[in-house]
Amino acid sequence: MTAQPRPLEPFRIVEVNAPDAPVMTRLATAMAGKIAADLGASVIKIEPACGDPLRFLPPFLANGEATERSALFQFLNTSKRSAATDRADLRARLVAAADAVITDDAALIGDAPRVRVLVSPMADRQFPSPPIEQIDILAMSGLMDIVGEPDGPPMKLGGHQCAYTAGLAAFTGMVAALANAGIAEIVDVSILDVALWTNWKTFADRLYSGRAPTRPGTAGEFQVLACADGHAAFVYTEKDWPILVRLFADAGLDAAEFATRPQRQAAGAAINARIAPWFAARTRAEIYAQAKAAGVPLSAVWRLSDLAADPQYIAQQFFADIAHPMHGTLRFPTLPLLWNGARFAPAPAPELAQALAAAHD
Amino acid sequence: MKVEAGSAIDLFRTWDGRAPGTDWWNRSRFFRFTNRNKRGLGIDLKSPDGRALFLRLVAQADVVLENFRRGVLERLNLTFADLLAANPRIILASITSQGENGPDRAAPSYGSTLDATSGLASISGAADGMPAISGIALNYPDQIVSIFAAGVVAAAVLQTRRTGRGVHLDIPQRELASFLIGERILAGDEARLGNGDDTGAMQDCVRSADGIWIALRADASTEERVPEPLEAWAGVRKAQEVIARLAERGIRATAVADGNAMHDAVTSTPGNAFARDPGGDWAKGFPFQFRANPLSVARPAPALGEHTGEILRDMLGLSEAEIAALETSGATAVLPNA
Repeated sequence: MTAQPRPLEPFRIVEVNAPDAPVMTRLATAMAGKIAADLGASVIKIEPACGDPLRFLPPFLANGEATERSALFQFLNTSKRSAATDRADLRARLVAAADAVITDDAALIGDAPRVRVLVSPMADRQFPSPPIEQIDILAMSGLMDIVGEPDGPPMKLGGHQCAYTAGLAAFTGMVAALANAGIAEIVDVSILDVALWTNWKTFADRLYSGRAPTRPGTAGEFQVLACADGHAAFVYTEKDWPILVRLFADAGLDAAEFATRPQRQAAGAAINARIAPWFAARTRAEIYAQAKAAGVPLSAVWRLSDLAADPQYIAQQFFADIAHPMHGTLRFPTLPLLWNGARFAPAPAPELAQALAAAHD
Repeated sequence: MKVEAGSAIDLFRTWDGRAPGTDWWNRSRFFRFTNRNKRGLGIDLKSPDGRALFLRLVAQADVVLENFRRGVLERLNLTFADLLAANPRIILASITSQGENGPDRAAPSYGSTLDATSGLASISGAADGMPAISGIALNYPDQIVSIFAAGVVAAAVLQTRRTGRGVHLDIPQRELASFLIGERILAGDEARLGNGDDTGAMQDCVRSADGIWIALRADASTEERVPEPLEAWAGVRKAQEVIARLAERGIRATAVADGNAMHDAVTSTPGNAFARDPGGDWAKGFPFQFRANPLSVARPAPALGEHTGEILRDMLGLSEAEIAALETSGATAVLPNA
């Protein structure tokens, strides 16, 4: 399955963090390096001799040594090698010998290598104290304001979304600069700018309508509704409405009061009340199957434990079972990519003990 | 070159309404915001002449980027094999909903459909509440895939330069949304943490007396300095005071910007996320920036088919008469179908 040569095989990339870096930029640089490594680049992660701080952050695998238990570290550092050292001269030599460096340390942005990627919390490239972390970026970018219930607090999406999105941007900026052969380039990634960029519709909507979208509650066309075995997402656009009226088999939804989009937005609570029994009587799988058959974009809210057995993910071979020297078999979500039909399965993350030994070779 | 047909214009062209008697399809501000730096090419891929024209352009292209529902390229006879026959070095980047294979390959979706099926919604939202989707204003999976796909395409360009062989990329949005919660999936950690921090720090959102939500975060060394009960403490103080008093205790707190505050901040201190096009209108900027060769918005978004003649003349060497004949036959278009 993985006989396909990997596209970034010719490139040597070093990933290194500033001693005082916030968690956020560490996550972003690690994500950028992971994607490059899974795509075949030779990625060396330089970590302090005591271990990358991410080695000690949750979530954790069931067992294993303290430095190898973090699922966060294991996920973000697949296919990399590591050099664990506190020696600045070694670090400088590794950076200088690479094709690209991914870092959050502005002090490392010198004249080499040709491509230097600098991830910063904001455009000023500072690390203030107390640190700016993802929650602050989500607040400043307006991303939190549009998620959640209108009468409740603004809500973040789960996981490390704004750090990882910045990691995607760092990866893309780096590969674009590598492809621009012969040009020495510094790629600046501001995590706040990436968050704002993903929230472009809010900016444009405010700009054009004078009104800012906020958490829409029942006025939003998209809802989450309870069903027999969990939750389902009620997602549709204008053209789907007549199909939904038939799908729900509720002639009352055909009434004049629900005929137009503004009317439906104003009557969201009434619509939800009418359709709630239809959802409550069905399982997630039944709802998803009926929606697919009808050609409307309703879907199941799958739990994480549902994903490995999901027929679509099985058909796409999204998960790879990887033999890990300490954890036995680990089931990884792979790069979201088929390359001429082939998956790029990851290799396990480097162990700290080996990284210490490697640094002294 | 953005390819659209009169029968299949970009959905964003309809977002600003369809004012009668106007070229509304060229005026949509949302379309113009996000399609800067492109040229417009109006080709009807369903017409045999249009398809042939498209393949002649593919012969000179590096990349074809598409997000049709699965099955449409087969019906158009424009599969990867068809493109390879026109250009053995072509990269076909398919931004798919759920991928090329499998029972859900043709299932319809918007971004928030994939919030739900990726697992992201199940770990988003209040611990004691409902799962949360990103919603219509964000449609998060749509945004992240555009950043990721650009990098994957650049990687494919690097490989094709070495091998001389084309590549088909299948980049499923649902998989990307799952990938971005990869450590949770790996650990089997299904907790819905609300505004809590995944790395274990104390983190919350509280409302001040003047009705402003404030996000705050305290680590192990500052957690004991968080006032208790926090909601009551914050609820009798104005936002500015809440933020200042927490700062005195070494705790960072940030007012949650709504769209108005975000708009005001961006327009007063523009970063890279948004930029002005040559006509002075705001447009989408960039999620990263190059220092040696800065990215800029050099060209406003195109009218439907605006550059069709220019492209056919410059790339294919067609005469004005040939270009006119293609338009007459319906192979090219500058107007949406009625």
